[in-house]
Amino acid sequence: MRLLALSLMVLGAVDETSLSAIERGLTPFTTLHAHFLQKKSISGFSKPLLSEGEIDLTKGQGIYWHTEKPFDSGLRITPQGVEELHGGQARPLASGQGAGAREVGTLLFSLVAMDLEGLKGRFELVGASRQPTGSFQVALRPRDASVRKVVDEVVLQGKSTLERVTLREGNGDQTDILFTQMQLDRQAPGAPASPALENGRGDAGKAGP
Amino acid sequence: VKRALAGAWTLAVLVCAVYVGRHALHGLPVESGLLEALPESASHPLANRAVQRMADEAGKQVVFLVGAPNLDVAGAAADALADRLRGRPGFETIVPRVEADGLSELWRFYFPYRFQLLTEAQRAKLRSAADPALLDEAVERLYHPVGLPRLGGVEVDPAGYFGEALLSLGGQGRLAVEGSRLVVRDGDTTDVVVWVKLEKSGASMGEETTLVRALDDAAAAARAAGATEVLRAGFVFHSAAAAAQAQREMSTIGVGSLLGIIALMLWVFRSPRPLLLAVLPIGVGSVVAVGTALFLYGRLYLLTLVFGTSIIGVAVDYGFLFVSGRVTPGPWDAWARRREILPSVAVAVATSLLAYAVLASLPFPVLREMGLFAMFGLAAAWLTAVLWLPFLAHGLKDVSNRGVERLLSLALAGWPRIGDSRKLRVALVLASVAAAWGVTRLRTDNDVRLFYAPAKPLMKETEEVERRMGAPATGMFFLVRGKDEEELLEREEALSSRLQAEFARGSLADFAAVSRFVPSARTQAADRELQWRRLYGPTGIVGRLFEQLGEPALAKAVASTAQAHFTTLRPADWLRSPLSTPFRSLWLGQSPEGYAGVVTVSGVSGSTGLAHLAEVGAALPGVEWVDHLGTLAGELDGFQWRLGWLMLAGYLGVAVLVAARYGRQGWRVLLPVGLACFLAAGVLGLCRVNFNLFCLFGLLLSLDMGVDYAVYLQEKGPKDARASLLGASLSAVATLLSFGLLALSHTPALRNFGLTVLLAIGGSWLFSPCFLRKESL
Repeated sequence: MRLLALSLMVLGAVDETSLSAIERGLTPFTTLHAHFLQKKSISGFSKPLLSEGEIDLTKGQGIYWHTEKPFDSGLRITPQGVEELHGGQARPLASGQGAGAREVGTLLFSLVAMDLEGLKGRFELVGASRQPTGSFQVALRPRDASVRKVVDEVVLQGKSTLERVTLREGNGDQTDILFTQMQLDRQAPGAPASPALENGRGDAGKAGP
Repeated sequence: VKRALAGAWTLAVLVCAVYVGRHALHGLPVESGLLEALPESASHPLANRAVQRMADEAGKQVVFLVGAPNLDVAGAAADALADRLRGRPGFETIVPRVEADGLSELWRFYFPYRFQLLTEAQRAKLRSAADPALLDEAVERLYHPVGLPRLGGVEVDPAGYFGEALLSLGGQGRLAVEGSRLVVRDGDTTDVVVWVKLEKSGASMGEETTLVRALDDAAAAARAAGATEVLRAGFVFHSAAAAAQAQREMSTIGVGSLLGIIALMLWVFRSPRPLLLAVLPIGVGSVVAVGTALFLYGRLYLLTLVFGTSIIGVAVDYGFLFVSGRVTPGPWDAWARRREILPSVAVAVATSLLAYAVLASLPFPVLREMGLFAMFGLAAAWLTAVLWLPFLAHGLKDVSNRGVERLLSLALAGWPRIGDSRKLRVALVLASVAAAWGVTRLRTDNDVRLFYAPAKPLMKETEEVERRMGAPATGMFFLVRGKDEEELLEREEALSSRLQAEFARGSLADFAAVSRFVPSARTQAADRELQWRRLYGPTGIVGRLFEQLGEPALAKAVASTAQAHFTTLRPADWLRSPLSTPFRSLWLGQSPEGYAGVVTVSGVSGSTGLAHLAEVGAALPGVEWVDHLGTLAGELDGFQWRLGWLMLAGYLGVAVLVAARYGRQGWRVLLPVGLACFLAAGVLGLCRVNFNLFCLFGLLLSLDMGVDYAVYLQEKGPKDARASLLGASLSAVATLLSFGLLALSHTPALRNFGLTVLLAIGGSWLFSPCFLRKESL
C-alpha cells in the first residue's frame, strides 16, 4: 500500500509540471457559455446517439445542460444535486439522496469548468501532455475503484479553453462531447449565467431534506 | 469460644480479601454503562429486546464528523484521524472511507430482483403517467451525458429504473457517498464521517478513559491535518464523562467528609486509635461486600459502588458506640462494653438488614445489587465490630475528655422533652401540619436522565452530530408485529406509506425499516406486474424505446429476461448480506407471538411531533409506538409506589422488632425517625424538589439509621446516657458529612438522595433525645 502511494506520488510529480503548464495556458473565466455536440455510443447499440445544445456554467454555482436536438430537455447540476428539467418541470434525478447522481454530476461540472485542482482530489492523472502549440491532453482515472465502475476514464483536450471531453464508462458506454462557440464571461462576472441556473439554486436549496 | 469465633471470622475475611485483591490486580470490573443499569421494562419484553439490541450496537459505536471547507481537506483530516487510531487496543474497526464497493455490492445483490423493485415515486409514475411521457423520459436519460449508474449493458436497465431504485433504497438519509467518502453537507462545511467500532460495549472505567483519550488524540490529529471542526458522538464519551464526574465527586465530597469526620474524632478522642477501631468495621464490610458482588455478578455497577460503600458507612455506628464508652471516666473493660452495646447494635443491624432486604427485593438490577451489597457489607461490619473490637480495644487508654463530657451533660439536661415542653409539642404539631401540606404538593418524575446529567457541551455535540446525520431518536421507535414475515413486512409498508406522507409534510427527516430494503412478497409481485405492464412487456415502453433508437432486437431480449426472472427476495437473503450490517437491529425476527421488527424515525421535533407519531402508529394494526425512556420513567414511578409500600412494610417490621424489645415505650424509638422522615418529605414538597425514587431511597436509609439513634439512647446501659448520645451524635454527624454532602453532587439522583438524607437524618438526630423518658436523665 505504501509502495503504491509512493509510486503515485512520483507519477504525480512527473505530471505536476505539465499540469501546471496546462493550467497556466488556460484562459481564466467565471462564466462560460458554449454550444455542444455530443456523441454517446452505448455498448450494444449499433448506432451512436447524437445530440446538441447549449451549456451555461458559472464557477462555484453550477451548470445548465440544455439539449436542443433531437428533443428539448435540460439537466441542471449544482453542488446540491442533479435535476432533470422536463417540460418546464424540475425533478431531482433519483428521488431521495441521489448521492451517486450527485457524484457523477459534480464530476461533469468540474470537467467543464476545468477545475483541475478539484479533480486531482478524486482522480489520478494517467497522462498529461502539452504541445508547443499550446494544445493539451489530460487523461484522468478515478482513484476510487467503486467510482471506476461508473466512470472508467476521462480525457480532456483543448487549447486555451476546453474543446473536447471523452467519458468512458465502466459499462462500456462512451460519450464524446465537442464544445464550440465558447464564450467566456460574456456577462458581468458574478451575474447568473442563465436564468435556469439561478432558478436551480433556489429550488435545490428548498428541496434539501 | 470468643477466640474461635473471631478466628473463624478472620479466616473468612482473609479469603474474601484475597479474592477481591486478585480481581483488583486486573482492575475492578466496574460498569459505568447507563442502559445496562436500567431496569428492564417489565410490561414489554419485546421492546426490551429491541432496545437491548440497539443499545448493544450503539454502545460500540463512535462517530466523528470531520469538517472542512472542502471534501479533499476533510478527507485528508479523516485519514489522519484514522491513522492515529489504528493499532491502538480496544478498537475493532476504523472506517474513514467507504472501503467496500458500495454501489457494485448493491447492484450485485439486487440484480436478480431488479424487475420487482420500485421506489414509491416510480410506482406513482408508472401508475399514472402516460406512455409518451415515460418514453420521452427514458430516451432523454439515455442521451444525458451523465446520469443514473448502470453497471451493465443497456439491456439490463434500459430505462434507468433499477439504478434509480438502488440510489434511493433504504430512505432519504442525510448521508451521501461522494467518491470513497461518507459525507454530510451542512451549509458551507463538508463533513466526512468516520465510523469507529469499539471491540465491546460497556468497557470498564479505566478502559473507557484510555479509549476516550485515544479518540480525543485522534480528533486532535484531524485538526492538525486541516479539519476546521471535529465533532464526536458515542456512548463511550458519555459513559466516561459520567464515570469521571462520579469519581471527581467521590474524591471531593468523599475527601471532604472524611476530613470532617477525622477532625471530629480527634477532637473527641484526642487519639487516632478509637477512630481506627470505628473505621475498621467499614473497611471489612466494604471488602466483603465487593467480594460478594463480584462473586454473584462478576462485576459491579458504578452506582452500587458509590451508594453501597456509603451505606456501609452506617456501620461506623457500631464502632462509635463501642469506643464512646471510653469517654466517660472509669475503669475500662472492653468485653463489658460489648455486652452493654450488644442489644443496641443487634437491633440496629436487624433493622438495617430489613431495610436493605426491601431494596434487594426490587426488580431493578442496580437497586437489587445495591441492596445485597449493603446487606452483606453491613452484616460483615457488624460481625467485625462484635467479634474483633473487644480484642483490639483491650487496654484502650482513657480518652475521657472533660470538654466533651460537659457538652454532653449540658445537652442532655437542656434538650427539650416531649413530656414536659408544651412549646415543643406545639412546634412539632405545627411542623407536621405544614409537612402534611408539603407532602400533598410532592411531585414525582423518574426520568432516566436522573442517573446521569451529561455536561452541556458534550450533550450539545452529540445532538449536533445526530442532527447533521439524521440519526434516529433515542429509545423511540415503532414496534411492528405480524404472524409471519409477510404480514410483518406488509404492516411495515402500511406504516411506511404513512411515514412517507409525514416526511413530505416535513414532520420527520427520515425513517428506517427492513421493508425499505426487502419489500413484502405482495409488493414485489405487484411491482413486477406494474413494470411488466408499463415497461418491459408487450404493452410497455421499452420495446418502443429500442425501436425508436433503431435496436428492436434488444427489446425482445429484455422482455424475455424480464418474464423469466422471478424469485422473491426474502429478509433472510438480505440479513445474510453485508449490506444489512448497519440495519440488522431493525429485524427482531421470530418471537413466540410471531415476527417483529423495528421502524426508527429521525428528525422528529418536539413532543407534539412525537405524540402525532404515536397516533399514526395507533391507527394501524400490529403497529405500536414505543417510547422506551418514557415507559421506563412510568415504570420507575410504579417502582416508587412499590418501594413506598415496601418502606411502610419495613417500617412496620421495624415497629414489630421495637415493640418486642421495648413494649409500650416503643413509640419513643419510632416517633423521632418517623417524624423526621415525614418532615423531610414535607420540606421537599414545599420546596418543589422532584420527589423521585432516590428521595424515597434516602428516606429508607434514614429510617434505618435514624431509628438507631433512638435505640442507642433507649439502650443506655448502667453508664449514663452520655456515652449513648455521643455515639449517636458522632454517627449522625458522620452521616450528615458523608451523605449530606451528596446534596452538592451534579448527578441529580445523588443530589436528591443527599438532600433527603440531610433532612431526615438531621431530624432524627435532633428529635431522638426529645422522646427520651424523663427518668433517663
